[in-house]
Amino acid sequence: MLFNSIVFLLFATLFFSIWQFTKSNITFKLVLLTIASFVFYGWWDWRFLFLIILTGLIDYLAAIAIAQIPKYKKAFLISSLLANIGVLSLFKYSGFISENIDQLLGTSLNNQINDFFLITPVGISFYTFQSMSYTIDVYKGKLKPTKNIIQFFAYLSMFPQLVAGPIIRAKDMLPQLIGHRKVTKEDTWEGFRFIVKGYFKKMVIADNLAPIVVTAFNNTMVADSSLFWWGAVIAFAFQIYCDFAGYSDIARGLARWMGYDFPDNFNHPYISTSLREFWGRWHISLSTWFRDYVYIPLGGNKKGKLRGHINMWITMVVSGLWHGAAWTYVMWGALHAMFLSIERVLRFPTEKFSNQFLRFCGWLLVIVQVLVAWVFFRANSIEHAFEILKVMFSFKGSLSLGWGFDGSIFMLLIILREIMIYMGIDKRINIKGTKGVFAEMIFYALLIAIIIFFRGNGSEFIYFQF
Amino acid sequence: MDKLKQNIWITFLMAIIFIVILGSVLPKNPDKYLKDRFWAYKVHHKKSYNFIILGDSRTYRGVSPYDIEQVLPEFRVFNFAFSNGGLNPAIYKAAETRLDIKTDSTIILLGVSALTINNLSLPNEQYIQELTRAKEEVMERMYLGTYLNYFSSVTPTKVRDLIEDKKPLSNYISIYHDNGWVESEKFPQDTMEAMPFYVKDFELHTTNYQLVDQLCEQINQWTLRGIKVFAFRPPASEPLISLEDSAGNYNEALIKQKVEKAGAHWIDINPTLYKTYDGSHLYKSQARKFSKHIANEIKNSL
Repeated sequence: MLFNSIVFLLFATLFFSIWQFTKSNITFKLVLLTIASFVFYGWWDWRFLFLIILTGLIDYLAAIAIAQIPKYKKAFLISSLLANIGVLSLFKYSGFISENIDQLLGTSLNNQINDFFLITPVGISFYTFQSMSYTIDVYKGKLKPTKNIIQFFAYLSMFPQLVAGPIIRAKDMLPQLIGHRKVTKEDTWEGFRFIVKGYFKKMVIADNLAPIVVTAFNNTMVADSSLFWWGAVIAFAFQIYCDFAGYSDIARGLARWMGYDFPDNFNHPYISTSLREFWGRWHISLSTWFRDYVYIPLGGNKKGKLRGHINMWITMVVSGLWHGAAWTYVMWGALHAMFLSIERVLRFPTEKFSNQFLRFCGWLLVIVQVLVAWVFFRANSIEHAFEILKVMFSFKGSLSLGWGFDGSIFMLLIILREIMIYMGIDKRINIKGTKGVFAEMIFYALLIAIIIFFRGNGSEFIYFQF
Repeated sequence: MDKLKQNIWITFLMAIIFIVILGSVLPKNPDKYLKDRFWAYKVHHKKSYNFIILGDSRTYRGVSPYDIEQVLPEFRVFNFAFSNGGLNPAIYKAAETRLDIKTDSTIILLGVSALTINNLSLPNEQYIQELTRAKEEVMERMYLGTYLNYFSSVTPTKVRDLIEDKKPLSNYISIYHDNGWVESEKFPQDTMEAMPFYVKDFELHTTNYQLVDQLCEQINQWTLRGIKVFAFRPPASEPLISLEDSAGNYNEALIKQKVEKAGAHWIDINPTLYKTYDGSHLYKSQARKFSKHIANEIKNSL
């Protein structure tokens, strides 16, 4: 089910109408949340519900076993991890792995894989990671396992964030599910703001930038204009940002309406003045997941400088692969790792500039690196990406960004917004008192009207495929 | 009610006011919602009729059930033609499900253009696509299409044109009727517009006489069951008719002979009598004139 569909509107209306009657009856609340989440997920393809239930059951039992039989806790953890990684490998990577083996050895493994396993279930990377963090945290003693199976599935399948995050840690979410959470008036208003902003980002900005990106990247001929490609990559950078941040905002808003709190997932990443800062602002729930469950367990930077770089490279490449089963994603991760390594060695740029000019230079360097990496993320193949980069850095061709009048308006909107954040203008705009409240109400009312009349052609959220 | 909750309601109220204002000022996009609704309704509604029309876009734009019903008031007429619609078993079967066999007299009217008896239209893509559409999408299109048209999305360019009062250089007006007819107008007129598409199609495929034989077999079965079958060649511009004859290998005399032998009545048309806007589709006024002619021909032979 898509957030930007009429079916979801009906689903959410029905869900919240019943939700308000759950009051302090926690069991009823959790059962309702679990059933609703299964309906939400099954709407896409009910056949894949068994995957969440299967991996969920394994993790639920493994966590209890880890706590109750500490002697074999490693074995239980390994079986839980194997189940999750196995399911992920089978459904997400079997096609990619077999294709590469076929190319290398001239075999025909790919043809022998059942079509069913070549379908990547929506959100599989999100819920398996969420589930894995639960057993790992129990293993490390950071979390006590829950014996309430409904509570566990309510956490694992929670519909606002089930298919595209943010990835919520069990230690943050399970305590919220146990206790009675009163939805305060602030929650209602905050949730409303998150939801409206989220829909605006997705339906007005991302969906209206999509045609620019599709025209550029889906064309079999690579356009021979440098400026056109810079324009297309900038459009993609904002499309993916608004698409994903929009989803996260809607998820956070819906959670607020249930009385739950999801962490911030995006914090204006394109104003970063260092790549390190960028990764602290982009897809925060995933970055921190990789930091805590891959980078740090590998030793982080505590085992010497070289080992620190190697660990970082491993983390970034795996993160690239997490996004998709293709070499372009691996390359995207590797490029970020390379840029981060250079930044670490040179200690430039940094997020703490006192000089405005240097701050701008740092920002420019970061944005160019991020854009170059996005080319690999969006291109159809590595060769395609190199062709695009060749044109981008040839500085030739027509002097058109290829946005057209419509695209330029939406680009201008989002760029101006980010400039305001970069320069801190948004903090200076502070209308206090009744006037401020009224201005905010008009602002959100206008946003709703704009979402309705200026929405782009509805499409799936990009991160569904990951 | 506490103040913040009250704020949400006031915001919604203000949003409704903005929506009503913008909705009445901004241009609509009937070619999305009303068109979507039209096709969903055409394929998925359950009503039955005793007069069904089959064919391609020349037929669904060119034959108005209203005018046929005026001449033949005892019939409930439905235009079941599709874009690139082929005359083949899939569509015959679908048409039969719409036919009200309980009535005394039932009629099937066939618009036999070169493209309807051609391998290109064999898959009946538009019909199949609509038939296999997800249930919830069909419901959305059928029951919300009319209302969603009010909330048509616009682009900044459209708003700019509205402010500058810029008239479009060309316009294609389609009014979608529940009886399957699309009342059409287009300006400026360009009677050669459709030609390149037909040239391209005929380069790939010409009239398939096996399909004509299959059609005759079906006509034979229908007539044996008491269903009256009428057929005609949809009007088009003179150059297009010649192209259809030559490049499309459309032998009207032979097709007429075969169809009549199978039991159908062939209605002769003078194609030059009716004006098209693009060479292949009739203006709405011409479609009505043409439909009356067809209806009168049928009336005379009943």
